[in-house]
Amino acid sequence: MTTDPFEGIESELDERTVSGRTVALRIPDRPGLPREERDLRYVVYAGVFAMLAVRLRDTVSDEGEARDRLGRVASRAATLLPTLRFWLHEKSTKAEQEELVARMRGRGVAVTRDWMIPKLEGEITVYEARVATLREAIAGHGHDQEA
Amino acid sequence: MTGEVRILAVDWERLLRSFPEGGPLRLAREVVDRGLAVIGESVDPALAWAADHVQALALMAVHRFDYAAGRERFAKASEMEQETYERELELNRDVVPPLKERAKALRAEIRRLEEEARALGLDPGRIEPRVNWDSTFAVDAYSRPEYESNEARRERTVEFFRRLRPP
Repeated sequence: MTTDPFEGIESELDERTVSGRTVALRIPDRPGLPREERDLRYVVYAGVFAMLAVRLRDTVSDEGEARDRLGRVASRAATLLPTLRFWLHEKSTKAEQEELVARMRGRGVAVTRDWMIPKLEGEITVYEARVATLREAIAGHGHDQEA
Repeated sequence: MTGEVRILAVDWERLLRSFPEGGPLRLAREVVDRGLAVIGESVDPALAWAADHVQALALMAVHRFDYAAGRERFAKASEMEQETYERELELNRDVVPPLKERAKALRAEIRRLEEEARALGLDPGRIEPRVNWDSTFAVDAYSRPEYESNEARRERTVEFFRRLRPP
């Protein structure tokens, strides 16, 4: 193995362009593993990068060179992290608000569609029937008078 | 096995390229063991040189996962918000007002006819069907809401500030 395992990783660190496709890893039972999924993901990612670091160490002449290369990648990641955190917070907050608004509005729409409109239509039917019978009664009274 | 955890495919595929031997199951086990060995208080001495950098990368990767995997949710939330807005607008602009206006006109007509019947000596209370007014929508004072387009609203705002501008 001579290829740098971190080759081209800089472009994959960018959250705006990296593919959102995911894979599921089966996690073995180990003492000390966190229960929360996000914490578990941190352990897995630490493992992924630790293994890549080990492979990097195999591809270069000494540990110092490996540390420098890994340091450059980590430094790039650390530079991106504050912006990433900001956008993640922004987008998550916006999504939560939009989901809440959509839920509330959805309920309002359902009430209007399933209750208010049928009730209004029912009332209109009764009104029309009453208008018709009132007109008939008035017209009938006119005929009675003529007779 | 304790279950599953998802990571970005691009990261897993990078690892598979670097470790083609062994297979995914074995690799996943090794990933977890290495992960536990590089975080926490007692870092594996063989990985000590890389531990800080690995932790920094893992932290960033967790956030990046949340962002990239969340894109679909973010887009869907916006889509749902827009969809319910349009549905609500459609009901409140195109469906409900004509019904309320029709009901309002009919209620006024009923009252007029009842007056006319009374003037003729008839008892409207004996004419069916009767209306239980208390259980109906009181739409007698209803007036259709006015909806403005964004362009109309913008023009009105510009006009407002134009009037405020000193000569």
